[in-house]
Amino acid sequence: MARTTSSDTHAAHPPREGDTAPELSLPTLDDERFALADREGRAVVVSFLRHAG
Amino acid sequence: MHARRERLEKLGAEVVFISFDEPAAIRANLVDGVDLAFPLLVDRDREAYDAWGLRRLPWWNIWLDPKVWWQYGRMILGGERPRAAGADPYQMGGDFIVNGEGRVVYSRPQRRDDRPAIGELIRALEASASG
Repeated sequence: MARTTSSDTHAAHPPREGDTAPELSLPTLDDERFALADREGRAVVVSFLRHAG
Repeated sequence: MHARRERLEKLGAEVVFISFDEPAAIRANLVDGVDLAFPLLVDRDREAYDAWGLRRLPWWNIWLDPKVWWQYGRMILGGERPRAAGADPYQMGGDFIVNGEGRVVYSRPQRRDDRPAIGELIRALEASASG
C-alpha cells in the first residue's frame, strides 16, 4: 500500500464470513457517535461507500 | 426504498453507510442517492476503511475498466464536470452484514464497480436471521 496511515490498524484483507467484525466507531453526519459494539443483539448492514458523486 | 426499509426493520436490522468524503461533499453529492433514514458515518482519516481492509486499487484497474469510461462519457455528455479535486476514485468500498454477536455473516468487498443489489443484502440478512 502506498498510502501510510497514522495507525497500524490496516487490515491485510477485509473480514471474511465467520470472522469477528473489525471495530467501527465513527461520528455520524449529524455529529453523533455510532459504535458497532453498542449494537450487540442487532444485525447491522455496514456499507462502505466510494467517493461521493 | 420504503418497502425495503420495512423489511429491514422487521428483521431487526440496522444499516449504516460510511463515507470518507468531507461532510459538505457528502451532503451535496450523496444525500440524493442514499436513504438518510439510516446513519451516515464520516471517516475522513479512513480509519474504518483501513481496519476493514478495504483497498485502494492501482490506477490501471480503474482506467482500463470500460465501465469507468462509459460512466465518464455519460457524465461528460450529460454536461457534468469531472469530479472535484481531492476525491479519491481509487478507494474501494464494500458491503458487510454483522450479526447480533458481532460476527461477519456476509462479506462483499468491492472490486471496481460491482456492488450487491439491496435485495441480495436483504436475502442474506433473512438467511442469517433464520440460521
